Amino acid sequence: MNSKLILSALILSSLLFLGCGTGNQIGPEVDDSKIGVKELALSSDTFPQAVFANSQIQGTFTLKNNAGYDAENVQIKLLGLDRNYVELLSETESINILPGRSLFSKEGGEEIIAFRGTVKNLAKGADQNTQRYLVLVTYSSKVEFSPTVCVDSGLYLVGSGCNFKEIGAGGKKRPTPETFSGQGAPVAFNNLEIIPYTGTESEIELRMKVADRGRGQIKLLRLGRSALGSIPLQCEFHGKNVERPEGVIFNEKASSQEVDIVCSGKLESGVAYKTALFIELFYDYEFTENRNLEIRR
Amino acid sequence: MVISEEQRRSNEALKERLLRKRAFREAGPVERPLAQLAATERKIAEDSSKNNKFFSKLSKGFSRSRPYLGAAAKGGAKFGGGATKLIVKGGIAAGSAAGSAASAAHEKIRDSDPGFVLFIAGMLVFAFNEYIDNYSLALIIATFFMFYSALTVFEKEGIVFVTLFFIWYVGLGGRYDIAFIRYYAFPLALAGMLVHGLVKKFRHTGTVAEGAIGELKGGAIPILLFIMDLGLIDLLLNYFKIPAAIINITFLKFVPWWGLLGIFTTRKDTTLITVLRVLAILYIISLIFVGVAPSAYGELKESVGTGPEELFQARLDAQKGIKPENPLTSYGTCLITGRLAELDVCVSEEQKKSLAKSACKNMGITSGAELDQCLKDELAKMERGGAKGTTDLSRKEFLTAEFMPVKDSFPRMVFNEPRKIYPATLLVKNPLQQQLGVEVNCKFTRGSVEIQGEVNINGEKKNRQVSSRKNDPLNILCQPSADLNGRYTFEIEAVLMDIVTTTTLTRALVKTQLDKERWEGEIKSTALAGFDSGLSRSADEFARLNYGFGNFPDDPIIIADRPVVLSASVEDLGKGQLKRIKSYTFSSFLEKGIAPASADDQNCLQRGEIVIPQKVRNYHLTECFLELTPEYKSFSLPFIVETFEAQLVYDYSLTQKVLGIQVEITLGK
Repeated sequence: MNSKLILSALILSSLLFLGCGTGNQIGPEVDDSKIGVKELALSSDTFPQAVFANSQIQGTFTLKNNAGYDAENVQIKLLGLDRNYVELLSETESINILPGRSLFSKEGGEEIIAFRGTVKNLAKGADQNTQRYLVLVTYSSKVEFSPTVCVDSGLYLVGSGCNFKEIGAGGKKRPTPETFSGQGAPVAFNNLEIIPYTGTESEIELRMKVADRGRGQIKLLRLGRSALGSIPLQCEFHGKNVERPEGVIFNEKASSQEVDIVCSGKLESGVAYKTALFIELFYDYEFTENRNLEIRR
Repeated sequence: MVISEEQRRSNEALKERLLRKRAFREAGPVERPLAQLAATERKIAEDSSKNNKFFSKLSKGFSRSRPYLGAAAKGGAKFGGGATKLIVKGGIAAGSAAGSAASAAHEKIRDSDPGFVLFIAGMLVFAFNEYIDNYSLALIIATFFMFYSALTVFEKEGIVFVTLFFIWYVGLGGRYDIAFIRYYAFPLALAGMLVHGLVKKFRHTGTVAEGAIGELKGGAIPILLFIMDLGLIDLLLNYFKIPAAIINITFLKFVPWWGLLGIFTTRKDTTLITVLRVLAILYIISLIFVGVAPSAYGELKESVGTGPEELFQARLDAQKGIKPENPLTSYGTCLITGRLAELDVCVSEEQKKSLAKSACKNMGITSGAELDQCLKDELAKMERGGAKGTTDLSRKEFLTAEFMPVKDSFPRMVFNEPRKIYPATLLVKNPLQQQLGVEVNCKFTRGSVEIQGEVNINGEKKNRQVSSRKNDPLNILCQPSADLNGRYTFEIEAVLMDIVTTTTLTRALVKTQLDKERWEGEIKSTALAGFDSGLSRSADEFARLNYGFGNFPDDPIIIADRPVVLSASVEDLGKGQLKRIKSYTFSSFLEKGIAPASADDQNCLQRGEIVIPQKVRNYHLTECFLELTPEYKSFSLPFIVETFEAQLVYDYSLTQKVLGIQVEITLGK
């Protein structure tokens, strides 16, 4: 009896162990496309680096979307090629949508863009000319910020999950803002701070810092939908570049682009509870890469 | 370098000891000490008497030690003059005469203070330096000072060296090539040192080494100052093209070298002399620190020889060129006018004014309302800053032409052939195969006499040739049209005609100021990378069209919605002279429809002939506002980059001079 019992326990344990051990294969796939800083990648393997004067030039650039969101109105421009030496049929090529990475497209979208043109003659007596030019890529996309947060309308509380403790009790201080590593785009929500209003009605304020963490720069930021659970939030931008609360245009080239978003809303309950925060941010973005083209006689 | 009274006494004592020693040796065995002593004293007295007689014969009782050197010096100087006369005659005699005059002057004033005399004379000459534009006079003065300082200040220490140098430098035309220095200059210096050393040894006034080193020291300084006085600095800059930055021109050009030598070697030891010495040091220091734009100087001229005449010519060229006044004069003006609070600004303004004045003088405008207007225009030009350009190093193939250096076989000395044919070779490399005309003329000059030559090019009696061959050496023969007799300068001029030099200028255009702010960094790190990327560029040819085009002519990024100005000038870069601008055309502007904004400026983009009578380094051509076409005002890209071309068509003159061609017709002929 005892031995049968022990054997049954072993078989059951083994089954349970095996079942847990192969969880990745049989469970739902994890979507990591909206984690970290990810953006478009440019390669120019087939675009020539050296051409002869008085000849045709043609080559391609490849754009791949590694971000977790679709890129729209993608434009690729060749800037700084001297018109006296290189005349392109078109200096700008466009792609309507370049899909981002997702559960259904783990690699993200990829497009090949071709440029064609004519290389003219060099100046008299010159044997070569080096053109240093830029490939400018511009596109529109978005980033979604959707962490699960614990909210409470009471006193400043600290703690992990929803296990709050009163500030001051046991030497506890107001928590530092929670940091985030990125949401699968070059524009990232860097941190979040939740500030409950004390007293009166159950209101809450959420403060976030959004920054450019990609290799290019943000041209424009625009707020989309924002909600805390099922309750809409009122959000606006704050910062030195902000002229309108609903959108920010970055004209100057800054070494770091960062802006604050402040959202406020009413809570569903006066008791602390866990809920989903959702903020959608649209942006126009651009980046450049340097290239050389040597024209030989 | 001055031997002090104490040192002189010490030398006298040494000499006496040596004489006593020798007399003792000659007196025989020590049998009668008193008699020997008496004989010794007698011997000393005799030797002393002999020396005095010998010296008084030669230098009329020169009271110092080593009287033989005085004689040698005098003889050397005279020999220098005599030898020179034998070899070269003419203007060279002036130098020799100066040498003799220096020697005579030395005798007369040997008991006075030669340093102080040199100081006074040197300062006087320096004060009137600007007006000395006669070669013979300048040579006489420089020679006088050289011999005078060698004889008196350096007490004949370097007289052999100086004399040998003078014979070579003036008599043989002075050559600077390395081969000459290796084979002649060093042996000359060594010979001088050896002679002096041996004389010292045999006269028992010192060792061979002392004599040799004294010769070098006492000779090198007068020689160096002589060369400087005749304009070596200009020669270094212009003939040898030593970068001006290496030589502090202000320091060297505005220093009264002979006067300074005098003040630092005078025997006088008064407070005034001390003050003057301090002032001299302060003057030099101030010149070093004040500085003047070296570009103010720079007349380039080609010559095969670099003798004293060329040195002097270089000095004259520099004087004729546009140059500012002595910066200390500017300081003085500012102090007098009481602009102490803004001294830097004032000095800079005064320097500019003097530059403008010099430029106007150079154009022949010296007074009246015309001068006022000229000064105003020149100052305005300086404020605007002329268009600048640079050499396009990517353009490896371009036109070059130069006369081959004169060979050793060139007939410098001709006997009984008054119409001898003289050769020259012009090497022309024309890789772009331009249709190039060459006109050759030659002449023989002697003072104001000028005899034209008949030219033969590549075996044909003609003086013009048109060719588009890649390599086209012109073997030129020149025969005088009249008989030559005497010493001449052979001058051959080749005018290269219809040279086309293309200049390019790259500009980036943005639509607005915001775009400029956004993209300036990228533009300047890619399309317009490099510190001189905003300058117009041309091949390293004889002359080039410099131009700037933009909101400011020098700014390579143009904001298309703002006024655009064009400024252009011509820069003469070669060793010869830009004779004539046949035309200039801003072809890219014309092709693309970019036109002058005002109807009054229709000649701005294209113009015909401009004659340039003398060598001018930078010649301002034009300045006007341009109207951009819509293509350059609205474009879809954040910025565009384009290179514009312009052409300069011109004639350029190259000259070769051979000095000292000696034609002698013997009586029997």
